[in-house]
Amino acid sequence: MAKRHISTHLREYYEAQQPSAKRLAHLVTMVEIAKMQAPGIPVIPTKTRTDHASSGFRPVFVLFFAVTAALAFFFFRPTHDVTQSVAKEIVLNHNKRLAVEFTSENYAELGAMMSKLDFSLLRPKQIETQGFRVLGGRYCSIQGNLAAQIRLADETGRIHTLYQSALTEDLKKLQTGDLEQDGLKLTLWREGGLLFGLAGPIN
Amino acid sequence: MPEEASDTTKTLLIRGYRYAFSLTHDPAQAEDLLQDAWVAVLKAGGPRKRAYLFSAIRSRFLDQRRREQLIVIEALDEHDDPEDTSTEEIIFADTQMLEKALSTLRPLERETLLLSEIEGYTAQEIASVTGHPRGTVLSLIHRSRKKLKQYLLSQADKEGHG
Repeated sequence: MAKRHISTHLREYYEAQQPSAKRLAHLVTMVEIAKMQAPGIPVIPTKTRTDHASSGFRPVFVLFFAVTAALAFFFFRPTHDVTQSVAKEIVLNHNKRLAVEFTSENYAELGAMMSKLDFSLLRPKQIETQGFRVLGGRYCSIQGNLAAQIRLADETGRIHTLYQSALTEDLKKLQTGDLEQDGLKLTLWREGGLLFGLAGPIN
Repeated sequence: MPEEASDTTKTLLIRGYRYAFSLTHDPAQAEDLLQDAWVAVLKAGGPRKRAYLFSAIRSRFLDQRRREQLIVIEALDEHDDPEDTSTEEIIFADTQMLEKALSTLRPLERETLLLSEIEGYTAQEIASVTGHPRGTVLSLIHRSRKKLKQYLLSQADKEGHG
């Protein structure tokens, strides 16, 4: 892109966005499955509908739909790289710099305030020696799971964001370690049964 | 599969994806949101039309955010300077800058921009989709563009494109 009106930038940006080819094919396939059924019959038959004339065929349709849906899911299931996806989500959230909802300078107090979390907030040992100061926290989500977003300040006052989330099956597959994403340093690790992500400026 | 019908469906799905992406600003979440809405549209035997799909996407997005308690209620300021047309200025931006700039906007702001700039909705049509008064929508469009412009100009300055 170059120098243009904002409208042109926006149009170019959004017109470049598309779902993955696999997901698109999967969604189109769902229409074809729906079309194979008699007009007016929903994709998944509802309990209230009674259609005696076609009732003999219904089990065949249902079985056909189930097998096709299972095959479609197997071949077109989402294959997002969970590490990349989480890294991107964390960095985007960090860049938003949303205000904290709970102000506290220690993890225990913050944990008590954030009572809706389905896990206990931990003071992470991995960054214990790095001299971070806790400023506060807010609720957020990682891959659709409720998570805690904690704002930290380092010794020079620069802001870092720490994420904690319970480990789901997907998050267990994530690769831990240091990486760079959009000009920020991101560290992912597991500790005490939780996933941790720390985003901040590169030294 | 008739090619024309398939192409129409694809176009609708791509537009649905862009709308979902404007709300989530995350490709994976946008795909999931689109799929949930699409399944609902097909299950209901509903019309496979843009307005119907967008409405299904929007209601699912709001439900999801409410469940996650991530909705931040903010007052929408309706006061703007009508003389200020500075958002028409030509400015430098690349994809990465635009992505970051858009991530600083709220979902409602991105949604309004997409509907007006890409989908060609009028302010009145956006008002009926979002449930906000027309005046608020106009103000929202203006302020969102202004925020984008300010972010992009500051980034361009940093990178020496100003």
